[in-house]
Amino acid sequence: MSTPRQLPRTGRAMDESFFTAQRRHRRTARAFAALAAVAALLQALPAAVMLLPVTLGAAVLLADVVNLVTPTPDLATRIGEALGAASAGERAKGFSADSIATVSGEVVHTAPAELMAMGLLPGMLGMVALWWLGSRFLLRDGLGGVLISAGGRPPDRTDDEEHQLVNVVEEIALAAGIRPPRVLVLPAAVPNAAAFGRRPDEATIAVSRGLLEELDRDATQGVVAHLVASVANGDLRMRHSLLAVFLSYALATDLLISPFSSPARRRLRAAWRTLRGKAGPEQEASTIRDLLRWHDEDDNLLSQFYAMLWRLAQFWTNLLLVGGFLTLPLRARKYLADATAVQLARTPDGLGRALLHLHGRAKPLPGAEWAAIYTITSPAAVPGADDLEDAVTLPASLHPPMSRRLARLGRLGFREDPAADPWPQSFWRMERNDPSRRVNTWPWPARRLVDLLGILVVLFVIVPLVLLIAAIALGGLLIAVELGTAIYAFLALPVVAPLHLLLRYLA
Amino acid sequence: MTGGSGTAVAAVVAGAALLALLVVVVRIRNGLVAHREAVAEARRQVDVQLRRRHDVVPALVRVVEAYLAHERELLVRVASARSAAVAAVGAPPAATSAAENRLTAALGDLRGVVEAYPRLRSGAMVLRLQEDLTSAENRIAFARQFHADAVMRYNTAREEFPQALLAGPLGFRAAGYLELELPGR
Repeated sequence: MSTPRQLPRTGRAMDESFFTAQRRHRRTARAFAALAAVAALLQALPAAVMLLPVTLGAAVLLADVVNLVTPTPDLATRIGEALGAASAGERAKGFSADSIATVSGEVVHTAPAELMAMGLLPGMLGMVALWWLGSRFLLRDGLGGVLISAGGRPPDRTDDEEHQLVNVVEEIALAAGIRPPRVLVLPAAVPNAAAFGRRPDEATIAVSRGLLEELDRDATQGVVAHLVASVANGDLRMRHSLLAVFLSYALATDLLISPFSSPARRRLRAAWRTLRGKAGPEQEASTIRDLLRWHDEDDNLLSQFYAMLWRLAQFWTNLLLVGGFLTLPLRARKYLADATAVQLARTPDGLGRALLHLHGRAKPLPGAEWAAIYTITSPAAVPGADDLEDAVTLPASLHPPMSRRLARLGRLGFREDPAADPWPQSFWRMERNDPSRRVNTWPWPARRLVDLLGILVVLFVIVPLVLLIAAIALGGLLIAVELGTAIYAFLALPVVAPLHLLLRYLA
Repeated sequence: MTGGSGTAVAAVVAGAALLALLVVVVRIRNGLVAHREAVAEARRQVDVQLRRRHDVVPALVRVVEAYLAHERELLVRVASARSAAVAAVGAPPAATSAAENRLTAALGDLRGVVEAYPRLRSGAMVLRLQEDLTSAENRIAFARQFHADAVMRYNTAREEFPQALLAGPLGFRAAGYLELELPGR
């Protein structure tokens, strides 16, 4: 155990007060959260397009069934007319309501836009419903289960390190004015810590043994302050919703391939058990883990191809529209939690030193790898096949780069002091953000020339490159979505058509 | 007839405006009450944490007593400072601060002596107690800090527009910072 020390009383000048920093980060977080909500809805769009044949088929059959009781319009004819009109209209002079009306020779009620709305709305609503289910029920006790299956246990008060941890948590909770969160110790040797929980008043702080052994009291206090700040700021809810977005895509994939994939059916049954509250916490944990993993054990080619298309569409939307937007609020909240942690501990030193130490050392918590969203800092990326998996199932870089976090801490008064740093590994990228080093001593014309070159490079190299990548991504997205839609149409037609004819014949 | 309906409309509009005003006033008052309660709660928390430190001291004295027989005078000073501090809880701020500061000074001396004895310093029991003492002092500091933050939030809320118009008439006085001159920050 490191020797207990008094709190350091630092009277250093700060570039920015932590209250100002918090206000700033809170504002950005709000704006980003609104953007992320829009982005998440947009991400449901390609999914809804791919589902179009299924939802339209269901609508046709539903209308047919209702037709047995009371007359309803024949949706299949309408859809056929609209599709014919659309393609004819395209052939003639592009989409317009007039061309559709003239092609069929009489007043056509179902225009393509209407058709799209009719088909897309259920798909998008379905995705939102899955998201809601995921956030509402699936994560109920699953997080606790993950911690338990990872070996989490209450701290042992006879152990000095764990006794100190409980003390530190209770102290910081006092500073934040919240009830002390539950503390769990994970036996893992990797240094990392996370805050879990549904609500601020039933939060859990999980700290690995590795972290307790590697950090001294002040650094542990910094880590705990960050986690408590994040709990007190209400970050848990947001991360929850974010994770549920990914969960909803996993659920949608499994629902769609369930007719021809037994592993998917098994996963869905497990999810259903969890939803009804029949599963224990450990089972819930394994359900979530299974859903969020990349599945390659699917038993036949068709389901594999399907899942691939689906994931491809997801991947491109992620890259194009959503990925960045989803991670932005999370990053803003991270900065906010850092600034609040400085307010709570009244010093940026503990947190700063802890982050410096954890950088590159923090690894995913064994048994809870997908829960990186809840940890204090990003686990080091594992090179190889795992990267792609992360990029698709979970946003790869949820955490802000360490250099930016340290730069923001620097503005709150954190100064890296290698002499006082008990850990030799240092983080020299900090210097890049040191304002005193930004002063350019070159003569005026040279500076202007460099500025001009920079502008030219951005205009003629970076911007076209970004546009090119975006175009390729958009093309990939369109191909994946069209192929997926075609396959679903191909599969839905033999089921819907005979049923439709039979039902209409009966009526 | 038109005059009659005009009066009725005016009455409804005036009533709605009055209701809206009432809602605003109630909301402002509730907000200020919440802030004021937070300050009071923070103040109570400081006392709780002061008492908590009093509870840690006897155990520490008991453990080091065996090793520090020749430091009798210091141990007696710690013990008496502690009982004075216990008695001073709830007394006027000046008396409480004086007693608490005497206790802090005595504990500081005790820490110094313990540091000078390597055998004592590394004893598991002593380490544990020192950790608890540090924690008790940190808790006092953090409780005071939270009090200061709560006072700041309350006073800011009080002085902001539109609360500023109502805070005075509704009887919300500015909250003062802790008068206790305590150790630490």
